[in-house]
Amino acid sequence: MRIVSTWLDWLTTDAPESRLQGRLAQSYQTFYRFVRNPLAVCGLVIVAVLVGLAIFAPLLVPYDPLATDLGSRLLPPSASHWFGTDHLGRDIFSRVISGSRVTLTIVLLVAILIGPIGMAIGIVAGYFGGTTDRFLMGVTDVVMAFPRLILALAFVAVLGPGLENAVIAIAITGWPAYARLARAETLSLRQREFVVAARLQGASVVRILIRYIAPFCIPSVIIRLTLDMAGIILIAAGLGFLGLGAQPPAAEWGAMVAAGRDYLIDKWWVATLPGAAIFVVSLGFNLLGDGLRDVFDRRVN
Amino acid sequence: MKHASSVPVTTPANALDVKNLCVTYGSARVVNDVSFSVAHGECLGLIGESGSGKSTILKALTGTAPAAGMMEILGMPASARARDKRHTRSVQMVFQDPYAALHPRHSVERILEEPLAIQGIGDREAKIRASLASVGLPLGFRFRYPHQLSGGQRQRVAIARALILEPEVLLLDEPTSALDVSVQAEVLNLLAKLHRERGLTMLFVGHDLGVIAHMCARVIVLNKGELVETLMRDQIYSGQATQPYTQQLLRATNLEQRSANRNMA
Amino acid sequence: MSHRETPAAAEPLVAVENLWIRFPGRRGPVAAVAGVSFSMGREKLAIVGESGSGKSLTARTIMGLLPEAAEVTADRLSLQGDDLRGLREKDFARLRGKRMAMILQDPKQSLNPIMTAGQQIVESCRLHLGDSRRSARERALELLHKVRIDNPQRVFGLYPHEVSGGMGQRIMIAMMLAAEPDLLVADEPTSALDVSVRAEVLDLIESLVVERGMGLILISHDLDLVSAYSDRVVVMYSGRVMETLPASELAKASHPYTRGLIGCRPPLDHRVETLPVLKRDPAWLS
Repeated sequence: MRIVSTWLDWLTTDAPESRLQGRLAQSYQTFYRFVRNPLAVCGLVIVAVLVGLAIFAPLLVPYDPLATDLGSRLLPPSASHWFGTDHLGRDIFSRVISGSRVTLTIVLLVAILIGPIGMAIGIVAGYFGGTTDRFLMGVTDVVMAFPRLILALAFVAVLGPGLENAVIAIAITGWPAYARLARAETLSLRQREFVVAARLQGASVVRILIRYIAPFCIPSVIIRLTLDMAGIILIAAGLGFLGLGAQPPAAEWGAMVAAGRDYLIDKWWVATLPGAAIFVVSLGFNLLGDGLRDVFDRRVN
Repeated sequence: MKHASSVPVTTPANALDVKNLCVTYGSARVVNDVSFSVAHGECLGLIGESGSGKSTILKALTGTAPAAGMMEILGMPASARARDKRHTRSVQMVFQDPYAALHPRHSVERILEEPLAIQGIGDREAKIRASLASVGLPLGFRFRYPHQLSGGQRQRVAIARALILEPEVLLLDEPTSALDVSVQAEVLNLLAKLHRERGLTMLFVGHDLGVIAHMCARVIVLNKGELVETLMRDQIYSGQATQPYTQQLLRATNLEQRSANRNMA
Repeated sequence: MSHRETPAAAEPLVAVENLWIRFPGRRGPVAAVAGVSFSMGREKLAIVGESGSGKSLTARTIMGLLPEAAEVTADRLSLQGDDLRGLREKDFARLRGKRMAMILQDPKQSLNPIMTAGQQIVESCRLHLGDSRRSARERALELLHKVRIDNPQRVFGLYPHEVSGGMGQRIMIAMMLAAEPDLLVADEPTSALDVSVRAEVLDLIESLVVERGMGLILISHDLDLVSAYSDRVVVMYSGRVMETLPASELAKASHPYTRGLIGCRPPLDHRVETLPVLKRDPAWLS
């Protein structure tokens, strides 16, 4: 107990005695604020489980997700098939697990695209103002005016179905919100005294944008991303449902829900269980995002 | 070292020369035809109430306000200076709000190192130590983050940051207005000491006559963007002023102090 | 109830005894106010101190405006004899306006930005006095006149962002005095105003308070202001009272903290080479 309390004192001190202590104390503060919120931790656990499942999917699946067994079609959940089997005799549990890979891939790829790109556009628009701002925000407004799912459908229709195209379609429609977020933060930061001080020291524009402005935009972008994940998953599922996402026989949760549509009344597990997976993961990202917002959303002052 | 050139290099007589400065935001003329000069090593005070344009003049000098008119710092036009990194280091600024003046995510050490890194100056460890010592902060403070410092300590870090590049001109925008009176006394003493030791040219903006008269031998009074009067320190102490606005200002400040002096002399 | 005074003596307007305000901290509760005591009648009492001294918190305790997390204990905390300890929000709401009112520092932040000055005063009148719309309007105009606003009709229709700081404060004062409270708490009422306007606003507060026989608690960090506009001064440092003395005797202040505060201001009539610096003695906190 005493060792723990001395460690805690060391981490929560207001007068750090070394660079390391100073930095660790800062990280600890953030960590502690997050961990105090049980729902946030719940969200983190769900996301962690998703990542774990995705990484270790081949090791975890009891059956080959693609192996059909027409003799065992539409079996209800049981000891041998935890989630039952679908219309081709494939084990749904294995397909849900391996579908996590697809979901995670989509979510990560989209996040990597829309987060940094949206942020960059917003920061540039906010910092330079004038015609640059008007032009970039005009483009943002135009993209934002379209309903996301419809636009994604249109892109997929043009590009053709498939996982990569689904990712691109979702990404193209998703970045405007981040540009707006980053622009709003930049506008308020631009005139802040410590930024002016950096300019007076001779800092180049690039240095200011990367080291002074971007670090403050990143928390809101991350929070928005985690909250958006749920939406992204649903759009991907929607595309999958319409047959425009990952193609069969790949296990993708949305496609699985679609396939189970015809059997919904009496063989409910075929559609419902993948749907539940979509729900749980969306919820997990939502809770995580809320938790992160509570931790990070302190005004700069 | 300067190489021989056909154009004679003269040391400008004044560190700061401002002529006919006008700053207009939209349809509002915030600074109207203000002219003044600051000699090398002098501390000039700019006093005015809110809306007088005093902070805007500093913004114009640092290039963050749309200015028309002539502004020369150390013999070079202000606009030309802003373009060259080497020149920016000779003019630095201390701001009013100690809470917004420091990067909240950087440690004190990083805050002090940043100007050195930008200007490509070496020997950083020694300079940072010297810098902290010159503002009276213990060396251990360098690992702290701004939220672990009091207002007065933050302002000291801000002053250290401004001086680490060894500027010749220091612009001060109400550096003690947000501080408690006891902390203000310490910071003013520090600024006066640094002024003496380094022969800095200072332009001190404020609204508190007592503070400005303490720091500056010569004071310019601004009202609604116009230069009303220039006063010497003795004139403030003896309450002499020629312009009605200045007289009103002196009276208002003195009113509380005089009755206070009755109670506290 | 303890009976210190003789039964014939009047109950003090405000009585505070051994007030402690604690906030939960990382390593246990932190005392922001530690054992503060004072009492006042219908006079002008100033509470002066630097930031972190607890002066604002003390005043807000009387008004019942502390944050949820604050834990308040006191041997005595009363307004005209009514015990304020353990009162809930709705009890305080009944007292505020009618019996006690508060003016804050920045009128631009404490006035409702989407209502005109007149509408806000009218709302106050209707809420606390039950006036009809017409009589509230008349009373509001009268109040605006009382706070020395030259053109009450015009100012009635102005929004807070359209008026200067000094006028905003006058509107605030009018609003707060509408229900004729017995106690006025002014928390740094002129800190956000220009120097030339301060004296006018303080003169106004002083004259209104004296005219109506109210008590005034004036909170400030500015010793000059406090010495000119109060009868008695309570000096606070780090949550404790250092000393309480009449404003006219500030020169004879005995506590080194008070003397230090007086001495460290830059004088207006002569030059000093180095300003005296206040040395904080940890013994003051015992």
